Amino acid sequence: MASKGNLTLKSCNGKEFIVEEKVAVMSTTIKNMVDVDDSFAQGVIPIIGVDGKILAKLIEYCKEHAEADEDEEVKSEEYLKKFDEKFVDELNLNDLYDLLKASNYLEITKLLNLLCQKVASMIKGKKPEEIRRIFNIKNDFTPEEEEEINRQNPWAF
Amino acid sequence: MKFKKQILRGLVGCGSLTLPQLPDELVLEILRRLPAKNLIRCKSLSKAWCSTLENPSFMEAYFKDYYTHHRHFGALLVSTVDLRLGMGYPPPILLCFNYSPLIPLRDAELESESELKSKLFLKVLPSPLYIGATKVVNGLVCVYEAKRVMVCNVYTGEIMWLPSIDSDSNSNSTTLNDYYFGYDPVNGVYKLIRVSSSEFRFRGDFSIRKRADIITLSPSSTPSSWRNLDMGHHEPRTFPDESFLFNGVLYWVMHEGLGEQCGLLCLDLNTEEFHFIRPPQQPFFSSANGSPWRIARFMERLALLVPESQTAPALVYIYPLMPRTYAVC
Repeated sequence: MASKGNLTLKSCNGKEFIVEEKVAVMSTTIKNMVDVDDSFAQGVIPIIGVDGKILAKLIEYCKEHAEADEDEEVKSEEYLKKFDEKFVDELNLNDLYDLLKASNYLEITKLLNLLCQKVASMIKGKKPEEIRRIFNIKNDFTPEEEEEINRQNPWAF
Repeated sequence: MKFKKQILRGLVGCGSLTLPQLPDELVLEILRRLPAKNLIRCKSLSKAWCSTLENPSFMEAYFKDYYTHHRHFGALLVSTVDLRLGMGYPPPILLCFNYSPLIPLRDAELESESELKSKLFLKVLPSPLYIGATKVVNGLVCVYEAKRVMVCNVYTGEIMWLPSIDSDSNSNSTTLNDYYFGYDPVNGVYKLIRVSSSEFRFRGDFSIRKRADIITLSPSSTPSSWRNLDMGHHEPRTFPDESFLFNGVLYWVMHEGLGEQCGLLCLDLNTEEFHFIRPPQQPFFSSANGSPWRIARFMERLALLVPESQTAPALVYIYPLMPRTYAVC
């Protein structure tokens, strides 16, 4: 049982995390649950489809941002920016996908934005071969088909 | 326990093919953060990406979303006036390679040129003689003035003026030009057609002389010169403002009236020959009926659409491979 002001979140593989309410309600989904029904605030909130590893990551992110929202002097904007950068850089592709789905489902808007931006930056300005390698996309075009598609994209005269 | 279902952000079920690990709404969330130029390049990644990026509903969702969020959009502003001085007439036209290619600039958006430039990926063209623009084909559009015409890539803002036409009109005549733009998939080239009508005085009477010229634009080489195009006996009195491009053929809908036959005038962009297709013998294709039938792409086929009327339901006629026969759908 969490003490007052704390919530217990339980991952799909049974790991429990006790977090401060202000950290947990960074998630709009959790906030709505707590607002609607007090019993959630007392008991354990199961986070369906999110495993312990990903949930720990989510909590790490929310903790930093919740604290920054509370006290701008300790955790400045610059500090958060650096934290965000490091946070996404350390993720492998599978974790990135899992975190994206989890933050979408839990409606952690800030994190969702950050992660989408990260994936977009992995595509932006890259050559097709590079993008295919990064995202494991199989090129199922014949060379002729590929040439035809490139021809239809008139980038430059 | 049931959790609140995520709101789909106006997306169709095709995005998940591109990144199978993610649901549609997340794919759109990611892709909308990419500039149009980067995104369209992704067509060559795989067949799944290509079909997603060619899906009109997906792209419409992308542009709607992208434009609202970023105001950073492949666009071309043809300005008839100095924007800092106010609206002026005619108003500046914003060309987007969206599905509605011509958007007049709203008052609220009228800011200084530099502000606009920083917000939109946009090229401002001072063009006091601006008349109009063709439809956008694969991201290219032709913008024309009274005497000159240019091709513009709406993704990059690059422009290229085309060679001028040796005009045989004399100073006594007034010439009006219409332009129609299309893509010939057989040779992978773009073709621009100019139809000019000159009014001239002949023994005291006014007559109209019409001629059509065509120019080939290849993405890989400099444009050739204009060639005269033989309209044969298909020359209509007036060309409709809008043409319709489908599979390398330009179509014009000819409604009945002014001695005109009702049907479709077509120009095969590969052979550069004109043809005329008559619609089926049905009362609703005649202008007396008053229903404005249209031409459209329907299930990857050319189709004639007859709108719903008080007496009949809406109809779609599909134009099959065999000319001059139609099937009721």
